[in-house]
Amino acid sequence: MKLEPLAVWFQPAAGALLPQLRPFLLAAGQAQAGASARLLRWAITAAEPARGLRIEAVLVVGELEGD
Amino acid sequence: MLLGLFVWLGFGLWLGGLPGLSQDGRPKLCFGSHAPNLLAMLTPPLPTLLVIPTGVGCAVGGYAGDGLPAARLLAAASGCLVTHPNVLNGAALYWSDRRIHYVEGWALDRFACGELALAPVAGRRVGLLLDGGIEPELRARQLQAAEACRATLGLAIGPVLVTDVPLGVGLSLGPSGSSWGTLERPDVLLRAGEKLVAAGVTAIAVVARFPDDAGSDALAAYRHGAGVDALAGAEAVISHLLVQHLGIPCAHAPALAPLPFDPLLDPRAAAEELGHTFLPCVLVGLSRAPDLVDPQDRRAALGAEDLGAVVAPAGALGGEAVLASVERGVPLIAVSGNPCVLKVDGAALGLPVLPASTYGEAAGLVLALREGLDPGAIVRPLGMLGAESSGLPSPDPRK
Repeated sequence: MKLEPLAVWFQPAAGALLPQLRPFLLAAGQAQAGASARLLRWAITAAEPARGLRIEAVLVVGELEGD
Repeated sequence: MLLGLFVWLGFGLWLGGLPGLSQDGRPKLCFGSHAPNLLAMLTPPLPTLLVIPTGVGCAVGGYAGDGLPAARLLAAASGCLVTHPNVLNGAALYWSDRRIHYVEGWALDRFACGELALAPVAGRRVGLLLDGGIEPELRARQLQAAEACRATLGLAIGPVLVTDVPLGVGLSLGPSGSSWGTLERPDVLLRAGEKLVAAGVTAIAVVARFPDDAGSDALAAYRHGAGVDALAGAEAVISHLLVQHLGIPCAHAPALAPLPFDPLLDPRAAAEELGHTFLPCVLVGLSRAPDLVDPQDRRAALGAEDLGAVVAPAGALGGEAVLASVERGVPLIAVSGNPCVLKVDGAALGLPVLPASTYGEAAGLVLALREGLDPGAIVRPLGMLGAESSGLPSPDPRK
């Protein structure tokens, strides 16, 4: 088990943000760190018209040994 | 889950109900020691969520528990405030208020998303988890702080567990300038937490050895009131890991070597330089932190659907708790007088906000919502019905 940072940009569609962000972040985290990656902490930390929303997150990667 | 009656401060008593129980026998979380005052008897609380994100340099709440006065004011205005340790922890300083509910950040997000509810407790046993990387004298200082809380405050603390190996805290900054951190041994932290739970604790205070950076420019800026709390991001990671894994209240205090005297210390950072540890506020906060329960649990006393307002810095609206609340239709009060390193405001995210320049103004807005007033009715110019929209949310605060 280890912790890993994630910083990504996301261009949202119209409508509520959370239903778009959660699957996007999980997919981005797993693309970066593998299928065992899951989100521990995240927040939108910038918003720019051209690039969209920047999200900074912390991932937990791997499982506890013995579980 | 719960609507109206059994979150009403003092109303259970007024209507002849059992203390601490609603009329249907379920517990009330917004039942405070401050009841019954006349206001509480007449006006139900407006459960309010206060978020001041950790490690982003907020002018209010970005230092050593300096969000606490704002929290106390909002608790008085709302009658029921849910907030997180970063707002309330002032090292050796704290304020205990039955109207304020101490909910760790990961749990706060889950609460706001409707995945967890809060249930009141009379008190709890707090286990102490000490990083094996803390030097013997500094460790003894932590233990003495815990002993002081037992002897002077009567808190139930223990057992104490020291990890076999150092947790290995590392600090860094993200692209935005917000602080975050990592652990070399998250597995050691979680296994130690499991042992404490097996020993019967119902909350965990964890103290990890953080890197000393006494000579750094970042620390000097923080102590002078101009920087980001470099420790805060890593602290959040530690407590998030434990709460996510164990499902009980947990909070963190760093262990650090004493700093040299600084005559120019900013008042907002001063609480961290009063003693040898940052632990007392954590032990006090956890001692009555609510249980984290499934929203369907019969003990659940306060859920996301009960929230009547959320208050956050105007430039830091991109967290999960704020977004979830807004997407449920909860009025969002955005405080422009609490700048930070982020510029993620309502306009950037397309969120409707009630603007407030200060926490005093935010408290006024909370009180207006609690009284059923349209906040737009107390500002000028007051547009005509059918004229251009004020951009304010629905005047019905209870949805």
